[in-house]
Amino acid sequence: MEQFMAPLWLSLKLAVFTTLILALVGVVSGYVLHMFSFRGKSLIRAIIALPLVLPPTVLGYYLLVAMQPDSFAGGVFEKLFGVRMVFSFYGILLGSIVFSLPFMVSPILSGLDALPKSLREASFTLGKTRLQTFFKVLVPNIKSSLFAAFIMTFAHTIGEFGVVLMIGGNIPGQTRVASIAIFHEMEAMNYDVANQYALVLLVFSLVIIFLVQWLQKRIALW
Amino acid sequence: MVEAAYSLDCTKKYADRGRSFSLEAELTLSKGSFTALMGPSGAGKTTLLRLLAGLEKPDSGVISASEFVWSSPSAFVAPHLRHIGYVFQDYALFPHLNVKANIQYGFREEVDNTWLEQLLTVFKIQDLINDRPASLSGGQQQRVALARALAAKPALLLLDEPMAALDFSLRNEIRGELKQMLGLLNTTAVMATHDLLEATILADHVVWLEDGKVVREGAPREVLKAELLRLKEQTRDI
Repeated sequence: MEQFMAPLWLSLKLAVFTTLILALVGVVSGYVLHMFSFRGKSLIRAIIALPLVLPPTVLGYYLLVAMQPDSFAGGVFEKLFGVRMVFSFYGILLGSIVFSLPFMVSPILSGLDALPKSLREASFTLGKTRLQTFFKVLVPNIKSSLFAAFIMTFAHTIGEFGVVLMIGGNIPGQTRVASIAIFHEMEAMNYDVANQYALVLLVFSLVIIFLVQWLQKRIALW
Repeated sequence: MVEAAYSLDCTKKYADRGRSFSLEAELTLSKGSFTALMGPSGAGKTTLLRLLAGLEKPDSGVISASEFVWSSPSAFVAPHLRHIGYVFQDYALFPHLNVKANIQYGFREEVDNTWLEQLLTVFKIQDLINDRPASLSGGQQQRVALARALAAKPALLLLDEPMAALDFSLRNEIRGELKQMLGLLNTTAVMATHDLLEATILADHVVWLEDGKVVREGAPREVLKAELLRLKEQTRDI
């Protein structure tokens, strides 16, 4: 049982860390991209959206190359934090963060863009700074977008396969997440076990969809 | 001669309904005065208010408050530091806050409960304090927006066609309340409006704009009389 649960716990751990880190990244980038005008803003938005269209194997390949111990980024991580990025949990966490970035940032930016400009301008004229306006006026009015961003990021990370396989491989207890476990058991012709993992992910996805619908109604009333 | 509280002499390119204009305006506001900005749509009334509020930066020229420069090629004071009040055309009430919290948001430092009660009484919104903006009528939203803009006792109040969406009797009522509060605070006010009657009742100075330029200014009756005469001439030509 413990052996069966290990990939599921790892997927959960990866999803929780990815969502928490991206929540911070999403809110900060939402603040910067929405509240400030600067050159290159469109380029940054395009780069954030890139993982939506880039094949996961391509992204995984580039991250794998970039995180090799003899590469600049891989060397920095190893020297500064003492961690090897490739074929480790840290590696798949970084890959997962990059791959899920648009799932967190895009809903937040869309929510902010949809708010009337006069709301933030009214806040400025009432003596509030950009930062105060962002947290006191804008964030409370994009609750459903924030919620959608968190859920989508979490759910997307749970089902991640390509990037994780490219960067982390298939190491039990370290990088073998649930979606890779399905692949592994299929390869080993353990169809029963593969079926159980697939069923768990299917039920999880359904629960997430119902949860999103239910909570969005609650948030709309809140 | 009355000392100028605010002065604006600047240019700004702006667009309205797909057309580009260039605002070239010179304006002086004396302390406690009420100026109505009038003119056809796209004349630059809102752009002028936004320049005074610091929501737009001028392309050239200077905007100053007494001896302080608010906007110039080398300096810019952000809107939150200008100690102004602004009533937007769409009122811009915060949907997540109730009426009381919306008004409290306008206080710069600690909430002055006596002043808050006074605002609620004058604008007749005491019974609405727990309501969210979405459940209010246009007139009620207008009153809350005015109360919020006046919460911090601003030195300059800017009003962008604040009563455009209200019916005649409601406008009359709110005009009275607004005049009462402005008199109490000795606040300088600038209002963009299309309403001749409103300008005559509230303002002591009218500035008529066309295509971004001031074409006439003075006492309300004189400016409006000249404008009516011009319109009459135009109609005769047709």
